[in-house]
Amino acid sequence: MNRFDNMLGEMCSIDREASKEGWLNEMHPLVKLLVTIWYICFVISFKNNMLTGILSMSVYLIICFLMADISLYKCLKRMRTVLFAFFIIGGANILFSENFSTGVTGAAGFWCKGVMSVFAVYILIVTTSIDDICEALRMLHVPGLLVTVIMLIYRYINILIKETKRLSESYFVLSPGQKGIHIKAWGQFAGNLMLRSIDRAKRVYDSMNMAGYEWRILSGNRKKYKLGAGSLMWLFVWTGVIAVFRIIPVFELVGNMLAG
Amino acid sequence: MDDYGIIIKKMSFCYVKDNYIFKNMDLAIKKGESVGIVGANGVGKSTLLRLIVGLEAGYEGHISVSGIDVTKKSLPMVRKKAGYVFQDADSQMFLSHVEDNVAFGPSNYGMEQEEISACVKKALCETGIEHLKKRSVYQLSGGEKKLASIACVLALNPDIIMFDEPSVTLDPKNRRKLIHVLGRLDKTKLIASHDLDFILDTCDRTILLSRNGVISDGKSRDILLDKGLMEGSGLELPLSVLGR
Repeated sequence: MNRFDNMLGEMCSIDREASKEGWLNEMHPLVKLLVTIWYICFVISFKNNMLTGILSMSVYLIICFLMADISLYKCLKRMRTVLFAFFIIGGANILFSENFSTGVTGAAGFWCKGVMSVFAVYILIVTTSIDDICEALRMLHVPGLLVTVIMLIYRYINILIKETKRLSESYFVLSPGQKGIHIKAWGQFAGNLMLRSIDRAKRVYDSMNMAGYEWRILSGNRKKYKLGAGSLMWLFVWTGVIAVFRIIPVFELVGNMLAG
Repeated sequence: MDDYGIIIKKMSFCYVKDNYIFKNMDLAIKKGESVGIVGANGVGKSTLLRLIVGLEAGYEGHISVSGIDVTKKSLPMVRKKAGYVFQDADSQMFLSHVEDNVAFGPSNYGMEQEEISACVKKALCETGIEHLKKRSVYQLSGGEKKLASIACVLALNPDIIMFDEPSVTLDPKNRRKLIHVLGRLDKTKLIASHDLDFILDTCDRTILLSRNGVISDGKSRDILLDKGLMEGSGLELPLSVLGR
């Protein structure tokens, strides 16, 4: 299995996890989306030096990971590129800060905020399919065109990976012994990749149209969701808890109480 | 006219101005007929199918499907009546699981969940792939993908189904299975293919296309076994007849 197959397999596995049965998976997608947005807004509203406050927000993540049985190892593996980018950007805090200790605190705060936001998004995507997320966006009255673009981009990722795989395989078959694609071929490779993936994307779009896909007419016709008591409770409990943890330094208070 | 599934009258079409692929073409296909479309590369077999379902626009003349004129406005209705099985099954299977792909069409037409499930079950049953329902598309073989892509079209219960090179990339066993599945489908079928044996096995009527449009239209055996006609159109007799 090469790395392109791994990528496709990974996407397939995320889709499968999102569509499996589970209490968080079956929760109303709008509730999950709103809680995630609410959580990220509150997490990033902390100043970088408010480390205790930021860390207190991890309560939501811990509960979701434990209760929905989400693998932390898989999360770290799948999101490693984004996490690494946060690590690099956060590291700049140390270089450009006036003194080292505030730089390190600022970087740590930035890393925590970044990691926690990424984890919150990860929880959303492994428990909610792309169709359900788009449906939730439509319920929020996000323009249909924008939602369609999001859906098509998601489908396009698949096509892009498959076409890159085909092109690179045909390149390596014709250039034995080469470890990577030669720099001279990069331009043509990228151009070909673009043309071929546009062609494939058109065919996919044609087949979607043949199956009656037309967002203007058909949006809102998908699965009907009911906003049950469990979903409403989840929404109210978490919006409340997240707001409380943001306003009141809960960890500090608990720490002070324990210290007497 | 009610007996006809597809009617084409004085239809002309070109990709490049004045370089016509079809010029004043007339064609009528009766409901329930199984029609093969054969011809050398580039004569417009796939283009003809794409025109009928409105995937190619800008034709002159008249095309109607189940009594509905193919226009931009009528496309959703036309596509509900006429399904199209793409040559490349990958293009048709863009969601992760077989079940999701088959349910995609019915859900777009606003069916209720129970109705969608029933359509999916029926389509998978007709193609004999119920066991693949929960399978990921990435784990399917070429033959399974082809059958699943046919199930995607069958889920919409169209009156007419068009197949673009259905037997390409299939091994003999899967090819035989496909012939069997097509034989059981009680619908109007239009099959564009280079596989003349496949056409011989699945179609009663054959339309032979050349650069000048339709050059012959009649019983499959009469056309496909006519050596002079086939060779004159840049084709050969079916392999089963040649005895290779």
